[in-house]
Amino acid sequence: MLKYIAKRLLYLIPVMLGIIFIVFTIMYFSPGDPARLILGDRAPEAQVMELREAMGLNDPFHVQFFDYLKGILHGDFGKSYQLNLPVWDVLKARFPLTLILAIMTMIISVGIGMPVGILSAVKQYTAIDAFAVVFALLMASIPAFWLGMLLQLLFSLNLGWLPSSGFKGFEYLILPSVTLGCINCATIMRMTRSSMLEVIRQDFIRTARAKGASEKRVIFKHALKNAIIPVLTVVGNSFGASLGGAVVTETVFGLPGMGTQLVTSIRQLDNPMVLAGVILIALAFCLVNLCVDILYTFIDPRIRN
Amino acid sequence: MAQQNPAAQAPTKKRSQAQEVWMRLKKNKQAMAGLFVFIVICIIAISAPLFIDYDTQVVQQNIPNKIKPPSAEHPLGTDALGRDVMARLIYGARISLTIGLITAISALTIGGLIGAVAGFYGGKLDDILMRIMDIFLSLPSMLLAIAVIASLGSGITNIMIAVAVSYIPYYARIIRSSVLSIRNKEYIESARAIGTSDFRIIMKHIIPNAIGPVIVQATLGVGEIIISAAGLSFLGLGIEPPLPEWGKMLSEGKEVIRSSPYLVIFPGLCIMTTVLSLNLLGDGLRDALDPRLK
Repeated sequence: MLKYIAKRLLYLIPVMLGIIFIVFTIMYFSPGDPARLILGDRAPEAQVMELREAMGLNDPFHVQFFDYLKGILHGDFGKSYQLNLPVWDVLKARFPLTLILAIMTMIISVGIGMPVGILSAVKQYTAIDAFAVVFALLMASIPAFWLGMLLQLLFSLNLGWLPSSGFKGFEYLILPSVTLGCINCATIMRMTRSSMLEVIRQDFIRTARAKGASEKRVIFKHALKNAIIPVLTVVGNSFGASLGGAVVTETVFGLPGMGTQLVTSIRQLDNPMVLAGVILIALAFCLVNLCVDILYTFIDPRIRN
Repeated sequence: MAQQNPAAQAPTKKRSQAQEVWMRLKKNKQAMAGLFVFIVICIIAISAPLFIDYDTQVVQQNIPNKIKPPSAEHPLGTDALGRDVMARLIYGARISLTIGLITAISALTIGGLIGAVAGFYGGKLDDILMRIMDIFLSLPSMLLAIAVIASLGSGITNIMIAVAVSYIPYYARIIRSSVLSIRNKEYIESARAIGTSDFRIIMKHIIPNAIGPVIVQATLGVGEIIISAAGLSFLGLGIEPPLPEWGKMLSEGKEVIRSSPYLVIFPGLCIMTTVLSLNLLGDGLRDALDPRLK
């Protein structure tokens, strides 16, 4: 088991290197001269050239890339062009909020999506099933930011139950996480339902019933255990989607997380900030997928080999 | 005998399969409703210039007339710059559909080719291509699109490139697994035996036979792409004003959500209806292509 985890952790290194390389390359070709951006339009050309040299912007691509990589290994993501602060300090303050939002989203989406998915498979063609199918279809067709605005309109502007934007406490996270939770819950519900339906029709379930196992035991012990692997994959992916979706949702609700910072940084052409933000979120996503992979082996030990 | 001439056999088989799928799809009421709604939206979008004047009704500002609630003259009201919301929404359909369709087709073509080559040749090439795709897939797609937009700048073409880049690895994977499942079939072997070139085998035999699951994903993909592109515009990273894009209209409506909620409700309804119709159609196509799953 430990060997498997170590192997998976080692596999993470080339993936992260690849991600950093791809994002670095994309950002490398972005227009605009950072030195000019920092010094302003009126600065003399000579001064701009000097800063370019000092920042290493005149170095060839591979030198810049390895310098950046070396920096990351020392916990240095560079300096923000706009805020004149180390990128890490800014992101460190904002990342927890985004992470909490993603975790709350997952609690809501797994907490509702899986049980309803199971129920709708077990009670196929009943009212519950119909409701789940329609709900999942609707949620797959609604943009998260629109759903967010509708909830804002109903629960904060009309009913006044919850705050509409900003962040001063836990209650400010309820609407954003419900928004993302509803969207993600649909995917998880759909996958649980179809995966359960496929398993329920198999012979070993009939056997379990025939030998007199209780319905609860048949569903949870026999069916769910065999149906859960594809569901877990979707749960991992939804976590990534909720980290990405957080960018839009945070903007709707004015939450001071990574998402709003990313959007501001893109508008201000603050490349080191965008680069580090994307890398950090990608790392979080990879770690979650790693956990999902490890969970697989607990559920189905055959996967280890 | 049949194996000697697979090229002649393939088209007839494909046609009959397509007919069979269509027959099954026709029986699915939800899919037909989806198809109908989608066609109506397409017709409205295509014929928009016949009944709406772009310059005066969609783009021209009319400040004295701003933020008027729905009335007989303006059935869906006017926006913060006094422009008719309905005219803008109808023109918005042209933008969203163009972005959705072109992006899905380009992502499908490039991703499909990568997947087909990887699946067909296997070995080292497959390993390298798929590892690269895996790396792209380990970035949440919205973030990848945002990084590309940050690099390219805003604009319709850039939005399409940004969203397409995030969908290419996804399609590559689907096509690859589809190709892997038919690569060793007898008709491929016989095509090779009569000396057909690899390029022809991929184009004439592999892709047409592997395309089923991809069509389903592409139909669902157009909807997802419309949502992603609207999201980017909503963040102010996509379409420049005064273009009437639905996501952009939503972000403009957000400013006055308290006083004029209809400016937020209608553009969202348009996105939802379009994507819902595509999802219904996509689900129906999946059931029609593989009746076992139903």
